Amino acid sequence: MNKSQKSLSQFQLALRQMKQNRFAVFCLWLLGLLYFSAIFADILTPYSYENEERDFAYAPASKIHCLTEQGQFSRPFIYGSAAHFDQNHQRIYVENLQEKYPLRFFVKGDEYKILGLFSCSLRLFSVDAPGRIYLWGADSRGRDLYSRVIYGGRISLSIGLIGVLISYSIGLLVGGIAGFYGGRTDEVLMRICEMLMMFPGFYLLLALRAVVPPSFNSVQVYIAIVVILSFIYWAGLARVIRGMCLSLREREFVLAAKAMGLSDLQIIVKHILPHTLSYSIVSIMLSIPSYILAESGLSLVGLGIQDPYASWGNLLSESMGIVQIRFCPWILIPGIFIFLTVMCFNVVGDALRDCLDPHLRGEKRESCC
Amino acid sequence: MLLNLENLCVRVFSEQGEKSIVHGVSFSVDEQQILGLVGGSGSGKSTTGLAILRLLIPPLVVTEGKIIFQNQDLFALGQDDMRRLRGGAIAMVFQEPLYAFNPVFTIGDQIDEVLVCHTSLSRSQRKKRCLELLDLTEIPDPVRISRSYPHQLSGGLRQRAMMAQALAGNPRLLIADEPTSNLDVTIQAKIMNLFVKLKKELALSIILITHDLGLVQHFSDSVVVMKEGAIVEQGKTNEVIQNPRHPYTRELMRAL
Ligand SMILES: Nc1ncnc2c1ncn2[C@@H]1O[C@H](COP(=O)(O)OP(=O)(O)OP(=O)(O)O)[C@@H](O)[C@H]1O
Ligand SMILES: [Mg+2]
Repeated sequence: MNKSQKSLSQFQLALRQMKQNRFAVFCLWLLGLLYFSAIFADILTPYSYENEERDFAYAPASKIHCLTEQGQFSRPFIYGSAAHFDQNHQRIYVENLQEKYPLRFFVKGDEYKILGLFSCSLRLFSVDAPGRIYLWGADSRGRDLYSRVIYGGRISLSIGLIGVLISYSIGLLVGGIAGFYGGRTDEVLMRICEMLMMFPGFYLLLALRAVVPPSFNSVQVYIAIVVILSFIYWAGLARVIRGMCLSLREREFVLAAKAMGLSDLQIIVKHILPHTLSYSIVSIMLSIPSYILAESGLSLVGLGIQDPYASWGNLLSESMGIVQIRFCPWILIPGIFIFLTVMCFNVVGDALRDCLDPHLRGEKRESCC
Repeated sequence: MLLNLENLCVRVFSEQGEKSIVHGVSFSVDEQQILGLVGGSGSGKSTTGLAILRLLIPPLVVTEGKIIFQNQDLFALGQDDMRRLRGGAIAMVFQEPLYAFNPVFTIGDQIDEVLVCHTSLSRSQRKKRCLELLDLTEIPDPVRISRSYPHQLSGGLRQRAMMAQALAGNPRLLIADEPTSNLDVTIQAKIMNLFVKLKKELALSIILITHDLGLVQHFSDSVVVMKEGAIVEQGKTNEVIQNPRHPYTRELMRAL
């Protein structure tokens, strides 16, 4: 095996090995599906995240029928339903067989903006008003949980990506600079990192969140959370990158790059950091879950994204009472999404590590030859 | 006179105290001249070469001396001016291009980088210039080579590619640190002939750092012999070869 494999073929090799890990490929597809649904949430959902109907508080999932009472096949439809209270003052929803609402595809529904510019109201499926379709049931204010979970993915899934991008940019740069220059610069930067890492993450998160002014609107809160998360998590990466750069800077191509007249920053960014790429990719994959979980945790305790905006964390905050869990278990569905996403990122990250790590790969090759 | 070193002293500062690595080296390089810098291992040849580009990394420090290049004092130059000079007017060729090239980029990318740094050519002009440079160093099939990664090339080709890269900034002076030590004899001769050709065609001056007096004898115009950080003998090549005065030079001659 050539010592300095070319990067392209290294990634091709990695890709090939990745494909053999069926579970990882499955998880990758699942992640793709989740992100796809978050991006096209407007079209895929019947209602907007804030569309509420108080009469349908905690309505269970609508049953979709294909047979009429006469036993004939028909296009899929749902019955209208209304809430009654039973002897325990428990809300129960009874289907009204007189009201039939056929499922309609590509209909006009709540308006939304494409790229914030064009108004559009096309939705994949819905039923005619006043009927309401709840694929996964409704929340306390009669909002469609399915719609809110899909919309919530936008926040929960993007916070991981954006947070990771910001904190990795900082981490790579700081680690690169510390490792490249060494000496005093290194000392100062690393002590700062250690100070950040000293605090338990979640408490630091809460403390920083408390500093954010309450007057912030939801977009500002979202940005604040992303910034706080990136601020907390860059230090760990910076330390590892710094270690790698300490040894990379001794390589002769760094001297050659200097002799070519490149500036220090150019050398760090163009010549040194690319060598940490495979580590970074794996590490990014494995750390996205912590951003998602941190946002969820923050929103769960009510410090994150505020109603009516949906994120998986604040959707879950509705399920903090035993009564809700007992009688409306469907409001735990956002938890399943958090679980799935975190699991997928971990599995894909692990698989990537297995196939990008040249040492592991070397071992496998030796054992099979 | 293109380059003039005066009383260059380099010391190393370590925990065991300081030590002199290069003491009082003075020589000059004329326009269109190949100067051979010979000496045994550890005689401070590379250190001298790097000192010219101000590329010594602590604990190595230039403590004394003056380097005049094209009438400017290199030690008086600012960082930015110095950087413009590196890879520009003074370029360096390393002993083992396999390590001097970044393994994750293609040859073309790495030549392009120098062009971006030292010329104001457009993207398409740079592409053309890159192929010209590879052609200049007599590389067959420049298009394919420019798309290859360093490890895919043979040692000889790699050294030519490294020279092409060094030429990208239109240098006046080329410092070649043992450019042929890792090559077999036939390729060594070809590379050396290429140096001579480039010297004539591009009006280059070259400092050829080597431990092989044979190379110097055949290809260089003047010679500087170093031993343990000091110059023991220097002069026109044929004069030194025909009439070596210092015992160390004679010793080197006997090894030929
Ligand atoms: N960082 C350093 N710390 C301490 N001593 C050093 C350092 N770098 C070089 N030296 C010493 O400086 C001396 C000259 O080294 P230099 O690399 O210039 O020799 P050279 O003539 O190029 O030898 P070679 O033919 O092996 O390349 C050597 O004795 C070496 O031990
Ligand atoms: Mg040397």
